[in-house]
Amino acid sequence: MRFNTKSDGHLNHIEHAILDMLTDLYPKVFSSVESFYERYIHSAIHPNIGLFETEVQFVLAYLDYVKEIRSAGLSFCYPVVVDRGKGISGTDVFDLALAAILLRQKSVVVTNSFNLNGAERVIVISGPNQGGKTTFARTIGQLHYLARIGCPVPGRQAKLLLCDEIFTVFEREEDLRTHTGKLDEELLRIHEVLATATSKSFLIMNESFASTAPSDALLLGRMILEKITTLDMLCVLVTFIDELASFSQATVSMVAAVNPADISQRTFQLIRRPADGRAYAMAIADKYRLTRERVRERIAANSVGS
Amino acid sequence: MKCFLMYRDRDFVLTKDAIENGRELIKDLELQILFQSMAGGDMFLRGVAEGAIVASLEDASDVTYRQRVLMDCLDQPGIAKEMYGVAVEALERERKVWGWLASKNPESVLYRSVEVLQVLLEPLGRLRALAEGSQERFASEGFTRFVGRIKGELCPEVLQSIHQHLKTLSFHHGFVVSAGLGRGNRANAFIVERPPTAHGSWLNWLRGWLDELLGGGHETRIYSIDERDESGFRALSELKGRALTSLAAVLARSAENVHAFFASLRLELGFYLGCVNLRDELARTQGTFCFPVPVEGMPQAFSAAGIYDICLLLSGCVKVIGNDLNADSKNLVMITGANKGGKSTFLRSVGIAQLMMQAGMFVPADSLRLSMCHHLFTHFRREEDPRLEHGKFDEELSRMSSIIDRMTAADVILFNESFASTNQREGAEIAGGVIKALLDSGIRVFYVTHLVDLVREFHQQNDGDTLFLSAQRLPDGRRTFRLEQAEPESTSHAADLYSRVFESTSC
Repeated sequence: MRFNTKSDGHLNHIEHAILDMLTDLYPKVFSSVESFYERYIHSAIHPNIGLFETEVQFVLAYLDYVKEIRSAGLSFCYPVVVDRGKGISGTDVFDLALAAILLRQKSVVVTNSFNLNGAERVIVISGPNQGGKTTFARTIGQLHYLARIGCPVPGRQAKLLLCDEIFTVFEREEDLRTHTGKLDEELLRIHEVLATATSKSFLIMNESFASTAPSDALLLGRMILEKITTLDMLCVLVTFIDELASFSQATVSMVAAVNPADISQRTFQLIRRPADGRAYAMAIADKYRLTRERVRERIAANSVGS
Repeated sequence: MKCFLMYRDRDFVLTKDAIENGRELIKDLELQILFQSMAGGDMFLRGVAEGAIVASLEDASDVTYRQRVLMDCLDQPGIAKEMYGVAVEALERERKVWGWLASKNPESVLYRSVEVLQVLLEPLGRLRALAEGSQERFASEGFTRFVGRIKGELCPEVLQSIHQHLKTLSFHHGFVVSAGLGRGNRANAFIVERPPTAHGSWLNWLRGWLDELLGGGHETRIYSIDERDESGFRALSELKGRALTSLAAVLARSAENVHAFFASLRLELGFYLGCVNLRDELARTQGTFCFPVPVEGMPQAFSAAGIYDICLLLSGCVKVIGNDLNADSKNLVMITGANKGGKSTFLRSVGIAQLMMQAGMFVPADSLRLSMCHHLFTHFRREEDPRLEHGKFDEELSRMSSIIDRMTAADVILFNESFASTNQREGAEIAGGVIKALLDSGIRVFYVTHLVDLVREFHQQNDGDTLFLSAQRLPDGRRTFRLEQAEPESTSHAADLYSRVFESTSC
């Protein structure tokens, strides 16, 4: 891998932009400096040494980051990278960004495992809110990204596809200025992704089609899954539509598990099993005092107080 | 002197709290665009518009009071603008006066106050002249009273005598103080004497003054402080300060009062000029508007013709569709139907109309009769929490809960696809519970949703309190962006969109 040697780690992109404009404005001054530099720098520092200096900074920074998380008892490994076949797997993997936040708060980091065998291509994640679904999807994306740049990945073992591109489709907020609806934007985005994706691409979709009726969402989900499986690409799909979990041979259902003793307690464990259609949302509503009786009492109390 | 152009009996003040509380409204209803148009490039006007719109009036009579003043301004934008210009200029002049009102030194406070009053005198005179020429042209209670008061309180004789007093108080030749001796022989009971109108050198002037005060033939003594005697000058200045304390306090208060008057005039007229800017912008974009009829008490009123989303129009959208609606005595309005069919737009138009009405403004509609509400709340879907702390559903519920914390009876809430970030059955269950509790508490609810189970449930038990609206969809799949009263559907026609996106371009 080569780094752009123009970036020396001290200037940010805005400063660069400004400098670029300046060089544009005063070409004479800058070109004479540049030619001076070109003329003498090679005799001062060998270009390979310069390159090493910038590149090693990244490696050291990453290792520092890893070291901190390792010291909390979590594993990293060098993944087995395959560039054909879709049999990917991971053991005790975790979200690198979230782990750093959780460790700072002295919280426990929950690890998860996954594997795709044979014709399996799509992991469909469903289950309760706040159950770690999006985090898990993000984790699998991170693993592939880190593997692609040659870094050790967060997990005890990993076998990953060397994908040509990682795509994400996460819901965005509506924007009045574009004059299009949310569903529109989502479909346009998916269309754009599927138009460029290949059988070696990797796609993460998070709660797509939430802004339409469930029957429509199911219909759209099926049509999109059809396209994805035809392309034979890898995909992680987070959804509330349980029916999508059993779409075809290509889909694997994983469910965010809850603590059976207290359904409002999330374990953040994702388990490979059929979607059971229970999101335990009422338990959360209760936690936020949003049941009918509680809401009525609360507003009555405010009205007396005001 | 008070302006009382915004309220019959009190000043209008901008509070940070109101804007802080209105943050979600501003975001969800895209009010920035409205503020932008009202500002017409003036950041001050923008701030006033924002403050006035988020701090809703609570009484219909206050709304009518402002509406009348606004009608006058729309009729006579020239005079309103001139008066506003006088206030802006007055404040600008004052700002340029050197010195600091909060200074601890009475002498400098005195001189600054006199100077401030002197520079503000001319604008007061101009304001008076404007009032003189325009009294007959105003019809509203607010403006008639305001103009009448200016004419009464700022008559030429008063202004002239103020001018004289200020001239005296500028003490061009120093001043003479008489004082008594107090404890420990310190001077007390200071009286600053009125200077005579003598001319000539300061010594002659002083002599003349003393003669006048004490009768002729008295000896005078003069003490000069050596130029290098710093502590001497300090002591003199301390003495002067004690002598001038009460005079300085009076003048500082006067200066502050006149300043406050101009500041409040700028603020209050600023709101109306924002409305004038908006009217002009609507004329340019061919937006209609009307003055709404605010309704108090039960049953709930809401009947509108041609109500539309003003922010959508102002953002440059050419084809903005208005809706007619009769939701009188309906406490729940459920809006369903085609994606991209104008549901969110309609919801926003309702919220904006409510806010504009309760700011005393005209509203984007051909006609509108609407109940006053206590607070307006919005609960719209949001993006995933970037700090990774909450899931989406969790975030929605926690936001809902914080709204409940602030809610009282007679509030209005707009839901946009709330509780959809979980599965359909449970989303409907939670939303149903919340809606019923809100209705039980006398809160009006507008709900845009795809939760079919939820709509079906309310439809089955509808006892006439609920209005069902649906985004219209023509048989060929095209949207009219019009909402019609309709039985709830079970599909949002996403398939149309799919075929448009995926089949128009080959994938």
